[in-house]
Amino acid sequence: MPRAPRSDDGDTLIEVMIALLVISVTTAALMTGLATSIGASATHRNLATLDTVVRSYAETIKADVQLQAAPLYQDCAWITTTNVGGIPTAQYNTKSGGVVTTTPLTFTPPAGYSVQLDFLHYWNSTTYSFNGDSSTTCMSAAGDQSGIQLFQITATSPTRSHESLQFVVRVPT
Amino acid sequence: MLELLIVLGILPLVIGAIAVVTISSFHNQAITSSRFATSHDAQITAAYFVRDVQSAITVTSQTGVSTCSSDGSSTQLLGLSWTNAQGQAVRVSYGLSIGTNPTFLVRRSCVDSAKPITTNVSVELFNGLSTPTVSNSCGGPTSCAVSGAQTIASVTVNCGDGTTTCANSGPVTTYAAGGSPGIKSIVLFVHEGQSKFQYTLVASPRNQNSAAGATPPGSTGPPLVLLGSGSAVLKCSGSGKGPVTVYGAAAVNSSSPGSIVLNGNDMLQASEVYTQSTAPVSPASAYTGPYVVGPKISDPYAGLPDPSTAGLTTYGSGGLNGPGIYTSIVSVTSTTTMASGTYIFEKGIKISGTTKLTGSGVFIFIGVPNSSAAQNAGFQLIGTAVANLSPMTTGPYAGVLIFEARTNIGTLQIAGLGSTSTYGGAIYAPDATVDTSGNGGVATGSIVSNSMSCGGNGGASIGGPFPQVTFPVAGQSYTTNGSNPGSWAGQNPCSPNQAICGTAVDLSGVVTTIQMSLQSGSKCWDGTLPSGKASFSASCPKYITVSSSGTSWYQAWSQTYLGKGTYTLTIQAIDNAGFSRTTTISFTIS
Repeated sequence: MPRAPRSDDGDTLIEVMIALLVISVTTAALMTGLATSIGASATHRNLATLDTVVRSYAETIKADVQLQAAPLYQDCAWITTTNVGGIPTAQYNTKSGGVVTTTPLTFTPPAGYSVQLDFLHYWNSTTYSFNGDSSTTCMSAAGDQSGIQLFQITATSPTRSHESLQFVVRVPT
Repeated sequence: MLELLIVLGILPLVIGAIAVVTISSFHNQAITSSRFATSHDAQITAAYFVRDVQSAITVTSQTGVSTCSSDGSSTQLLGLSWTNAQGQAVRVSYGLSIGTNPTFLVRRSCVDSAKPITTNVSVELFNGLSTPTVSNSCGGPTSCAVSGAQTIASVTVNCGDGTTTCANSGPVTTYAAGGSPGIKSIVLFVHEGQSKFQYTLVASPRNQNSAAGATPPGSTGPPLVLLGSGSAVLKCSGSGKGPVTVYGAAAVNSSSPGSIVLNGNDMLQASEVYTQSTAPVSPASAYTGPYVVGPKISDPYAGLPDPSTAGLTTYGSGGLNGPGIYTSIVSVTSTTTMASGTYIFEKGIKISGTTKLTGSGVFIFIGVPNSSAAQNAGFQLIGTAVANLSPMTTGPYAGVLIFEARTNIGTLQIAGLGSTSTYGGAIYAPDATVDTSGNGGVATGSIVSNSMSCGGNGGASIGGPFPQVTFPVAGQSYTTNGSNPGSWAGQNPCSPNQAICGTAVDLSGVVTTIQMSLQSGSKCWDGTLPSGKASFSASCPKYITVSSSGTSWYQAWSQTYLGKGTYTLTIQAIDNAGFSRTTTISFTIS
């Protein structure tokens, strides 16, 4: 059977423009997707690194606090901040027999990242809550007791995203 | 025509954009995937590593062995161990994968004798790099994996004494005890090979205090620890009259009444029976000492890895040659001296006849190392054979003489019918019975086993050096008034007169050092013998080696050295197995 003759009619301008529009939208979508993927991977890496930083800082504090020279652990600790090599560094302070012992909680985060110790609270067995007063007078309040200290730390990434972590250090016995 | 021109003008722009997108896609796809993968590596490693270190009771950074592996690999960077809430021994090893391309950072986990579970915690680490090597020579870090000249992964163990090498020779406890300075923190540094992504993880063990873990018996731990459950984990049978004497505490983890059964004429003597049951001894009259009820004692050697077979000579059938691996049961029928070193008797060893087996610096492993298969290889000392053995004093097996594989139930029959056999250090058989019922008797530094049987006439003495103070007498008050009754000089039975003196017995070995530390207030005697008062200016404890002869010891002294006050005297004896024990008393000068 003879084939039907092909039409010599071309696409109209509007058809071509629509096709180009579709292609352009598709291309733009692909590029956006790619950019999102790249951005997401960078964000993911930042968060993964931020997670290692905040975990490591918490572990450093636990080690420093629990392994103080003697005694291992002190009631009524309080925190201050000092500069170590130009870097603001938290210090853990305890008082025993009138003598104050200061332990710098030295931690060096990766370049661009920073850490800070937000607060240190201690347990009150009368109110069954953590006392908000981080001072040297903790034993003046009824129910203040030794054994449990609550820390909060925050790590910040170069992109200003941050992660906070609360953890408890207890008497190591 | 116009349409064609428009199309020709726009189409290149569109095609160009598509080309750019396509090329960028291909280019960034690999980078993006790698970035996700490395980030996942960091997250997975952080999740495992920090919790493992937090749980650890022992730590080793020795690279020539594997804390948990049956493949004989020597790729370990860090080994950790602890006992879980179910009382199971957990051992974890961080090292490199074997035979994969590329190499991975893997975590191997063993629970009791179950087959190791391997988890790839970092798959991108060595991507595109040559096969790395692991060593303790890292120019700073404790152990490292190096590919070419590049350190890809490293572990730094921060010890309690400020060093980073305390765990390089074998497992040490995370708390300060028994020669371990304790572990402050462990740092894992990773520098991914291709992407250059790097991260650092710091983790600190939680069990910083000795109360959290069982103390090995070499110093303060109980010399006798029976880990088994059920009744009669210590059982004496027959009509033998030899007592079981423990120089320290006898700890029994069984909660069954009658977990200690002493038939016939047998007696148990110990400073205390540490138990889970309120009526552990049957009959009750066979033990008259104190009972202490507390939680079960963890296996003090749970973290002790099976020995490495690397570098050891293998022997087939035949007698005892030297250190090595013996794949058939070894029969010793003539007097033999064992050279110092590691002996692995995969099918056991039998010593019979009138043989005398001696050796110092010896480590004996019974069974196939790192095998999860059930085994029944034992140690048989029969007839009138006698053994006099002492353990290594350095390395990961310091103080451990016999270690029977964790899957091995073969009995350790350690007492013959002739003379008393002596086994310095510890006999460790967590799944087996140690039989001391031979009439010849036996003395050993420690027994940590599933169960123990006894009943011979010779008896069993368990415990390392046992120092005692003859003078001054604990709790007594003395004057310094000449030789009057009640004065230091008047009451003193020592030679030379006015000395501080006592005894130190060690039936399983030889006491090599006896030291004393005398404390007044917060300071200790500095060791100088003055013309006036003794100087208490040293930090405590300040051990001063005293004079000794046989089982007696003394420190020359004068009552004029001491002013009025209360003093604490600590005597420490150390034997040739490296076991030490202290005795502390207090007295007053009025």
